[in-house]
Amino acid sequence: MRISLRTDGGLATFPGLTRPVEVDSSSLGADEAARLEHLVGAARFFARPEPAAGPAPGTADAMTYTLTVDDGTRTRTLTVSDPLEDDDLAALISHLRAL
Amino acid sequence: MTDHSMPSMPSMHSIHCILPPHMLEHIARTGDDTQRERALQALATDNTQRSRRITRSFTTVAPAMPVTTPHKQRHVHDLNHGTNLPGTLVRSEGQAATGDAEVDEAYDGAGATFDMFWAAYSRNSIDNAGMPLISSAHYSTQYNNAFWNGAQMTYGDGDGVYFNRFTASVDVIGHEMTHGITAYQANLEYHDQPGALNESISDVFGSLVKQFSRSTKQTAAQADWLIGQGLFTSKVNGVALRSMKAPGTAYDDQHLGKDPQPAHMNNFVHTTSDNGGVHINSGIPNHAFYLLATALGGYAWEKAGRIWYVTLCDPRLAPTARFQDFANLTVANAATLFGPAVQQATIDAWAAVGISSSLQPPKISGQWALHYDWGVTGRFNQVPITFNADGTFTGGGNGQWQQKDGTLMLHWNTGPAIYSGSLDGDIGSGAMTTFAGSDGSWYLYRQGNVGLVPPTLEEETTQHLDAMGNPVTVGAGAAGAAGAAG
Repeated sequence: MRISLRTDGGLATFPGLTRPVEVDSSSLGADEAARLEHLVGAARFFARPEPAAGPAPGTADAMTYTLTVDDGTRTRTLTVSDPLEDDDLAALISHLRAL
Repeated sequence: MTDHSMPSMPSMHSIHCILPPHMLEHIARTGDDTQRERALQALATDNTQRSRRITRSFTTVAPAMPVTTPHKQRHVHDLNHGTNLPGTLVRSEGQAATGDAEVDEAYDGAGATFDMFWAAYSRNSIDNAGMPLISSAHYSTQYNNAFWNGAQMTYGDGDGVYFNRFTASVDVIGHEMTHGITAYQANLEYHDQPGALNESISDVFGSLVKQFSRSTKQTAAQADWLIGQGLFTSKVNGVALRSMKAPGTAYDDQHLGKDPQPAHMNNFVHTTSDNGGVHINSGIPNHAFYLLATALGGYAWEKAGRIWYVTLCDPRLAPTARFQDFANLTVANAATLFGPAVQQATIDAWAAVGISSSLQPPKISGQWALHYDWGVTGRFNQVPITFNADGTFTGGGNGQWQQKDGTLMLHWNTGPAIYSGSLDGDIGSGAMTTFAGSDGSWYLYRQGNVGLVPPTLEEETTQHLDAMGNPVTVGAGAAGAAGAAG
């Protein structure tokens, strides 16, 4: 499973932080790979309805997250913004940001 | 553009609407046939029309702040690392500190922001109607950000590696809350130049909150003009998220990169990320504000901040406003609020960041007569006045005049009176205000074209007043009246 996370926006723009986080579970240890796959599954990544594009009107300084998951048979890209309303998707994003 | 708060532009056919009876009598005595006929017709109209007109002119002068009491109502919630706003309420207005630094800083910072806007601009919360101030702390995990979601403020803990908690800097709290105020006022669109203005306004007032809320208030010269000082850990090579004093120099770090903010239009950044660079190009108007505030000196919220605040609340500021539009309005409002010297400083500040907002050249010259009153029968004064090409005037007193976007402004050097209104051909009229709150009307007419002899001060039973409304002794001629006008 290959995952990328690109983060845009926020209170400040840091040029050094614009690079997407990219991870291939096959390069992770077994525990880490299982944890990642569990988070993707818990977030129902491939089953989620398409979210609204961009932050809600009136929002300022929110971050926008572009997540792409390729599980070997299918690929999907989702774009979501703060405030994240789904705890499972938020957990996946937090985990990827911390990698 | 036209300031619709000013009385509408008069024309010669409406002479009867704008001139006081004694002046009409003067015209009737000395004008040519057409002027005499119009003046006599005007004198025949019911005097009540004049009292109605004066009443209206009073209501169009700088509306007084609504009488209100400040309503500071803070609520801070704890998200406990979740993301569903607002979380659990942990501290409400008046309750003791919780011991959770992020919660307590969110509470204190919202209070500091509320206090600055109330003390400096009589603004009663985000909506100017006492709206509760909702904040949430501990958003997500290791979240390196703070945001406004259209209804409340939200703060992250930071990752602890590069970033501390985002409540650590009171100007960041002021920044977020100002986004709410902007939404209730100009509602600047959150992309490209209007978005960068939106961001800059949040930085401006965020910084003013910091300067105002210090135990010893800071002048523009004393302030650090940094946004987010204290958010970085010692691991980062940088001092803050942004610098209004020197955009582009706040950090230069191996991990975070280099501060990308420009300070001048020559270095405007075209990008599709960050909603079109709203946090990048905000450095340009940020620096203009810094330059103005430091040029004026003193407490930045008093003059530069007031110009920005009045502009943010100006109905002429469109949601799609670009830097040039905003600059033009600050220049116009600087004149109305503080006179020509501050207006020139505002022009200079924008010019220094590559935005030209120059005044139109003078349009009037020669011999005129200025009549001004307080809208009370028998309380008026009249002085001869000569407009000079350099923007000063003489004969009637000392001061400066400017004409821009259809608005004529006269500022006396020696007193608080400001005459603003419009000029049409040989007649001008408008509203007179003083900072002491005494308001009235003024009329201006060219002497030569209406065949008038140089005006003499009227004595008769009229009581002459200075610009503060105090009786003055007349008899020293125009020079005495000129001094009184200030």
